[in-house]
Amino acid sequence: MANDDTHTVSYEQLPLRELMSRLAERDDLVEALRKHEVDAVVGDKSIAVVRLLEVERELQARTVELQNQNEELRKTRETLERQAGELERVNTELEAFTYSISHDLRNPLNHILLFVELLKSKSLPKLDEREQQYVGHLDTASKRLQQLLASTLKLFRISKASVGDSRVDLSELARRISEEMTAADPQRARRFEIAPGLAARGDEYLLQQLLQNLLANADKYSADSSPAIIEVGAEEPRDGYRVFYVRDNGIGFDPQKAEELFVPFVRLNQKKNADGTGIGLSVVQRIVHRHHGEVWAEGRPEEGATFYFRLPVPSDD
Amino acid sequence: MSTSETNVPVDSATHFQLRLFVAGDEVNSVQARRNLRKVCDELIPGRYTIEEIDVLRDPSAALKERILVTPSLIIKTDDSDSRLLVFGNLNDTTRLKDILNGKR
Repeated sequence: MANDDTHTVSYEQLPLRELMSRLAERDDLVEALRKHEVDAVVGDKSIAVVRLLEVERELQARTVELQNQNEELRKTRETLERQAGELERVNTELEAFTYSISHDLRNPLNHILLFVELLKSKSLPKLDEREQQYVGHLDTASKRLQQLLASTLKLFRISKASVGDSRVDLSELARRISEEMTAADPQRARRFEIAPGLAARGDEYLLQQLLQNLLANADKYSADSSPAIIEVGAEEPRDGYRVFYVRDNGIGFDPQKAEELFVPFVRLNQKKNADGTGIGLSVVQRIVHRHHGEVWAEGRPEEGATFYFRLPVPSDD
Repeated sequence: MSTSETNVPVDSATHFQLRLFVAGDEVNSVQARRNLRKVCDELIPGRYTIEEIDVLRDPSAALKERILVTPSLIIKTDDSDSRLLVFGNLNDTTRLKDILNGKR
């Protein structure tokens, strides 16, 4: 039985015009959506603003930009890699050249040293005072040359040495070196303050050389301080590395020349002890670099110096 | 679609009530606004009123008219109960012009 509200219509009675309009509207809506001509969708509870076309364009622009940047980066990296390769090659050649020069000079130099010795022991009394002075200069200069060659070869060896990778107790090494230094010069007013438990990861022999050089350097330039205080310590470990330092209360240095400290055969304080060839800190720098670390110095004239070096730490620390 | 059979000539005095639903100053809404005025001034100068509804400010008006997306244009004439809907930024004015010319 038909409900009162229901009524039946025949196809002929359908409001065709209305129907066509609705269909046209529907097509229009689909078309608007397809062409991204819509910018908001209204829902019962919220309105979603859509920016499809804009977003697409923006994305495309950014993609192109990124591609350009990538291309530039790639070119830059290639250039840098090429330059690094060239630098390394030049460096290797230079080192080989230095090594062969130093090596080849040793033979003739040994002859000079030998004949200077002979001259001194056999002929010195026969020479007059001025001639004796000449021999003295010859002696000093040839020994100096011998030292320089030895230093150059030493630096070269550090560059080529294989680097061990074990746990190294820097506190213990520093303590032993300080005892040796104290034993060598017990009269000197000098105090070592070595923090306990400083461990690094690396080559024990090279790190011992490093500390030896830094402590000797600190000792040398705090000779006038009484007492000289030489401190060995470290900052907190970070990201597998730790910054260690050797500090003294000596004559310090001009901070503007901090970089020059590490250049071989350069001395900032010329008047100080003439012994040694001025490669101590170069040795330190090479050893740190061989451990993929960094080294730098802070100081002021008459206010002491601190040498920092960053080294990897054992993984269990 | 054939236009001749459904062609009901629009009286030259017919007044159009246009309600444009937009979403703030979004690109398509701005374009729809500009395109609509241009077409109206061209085809039915002085015989239209445009009411603009920003759905971002007044969402209930959109819901009441069951507007789904913006830009949407509701076209009504004062001599008919039926309403017609046009969607999009009106860069393509073919359908709008047909309606205003009384072809739909």
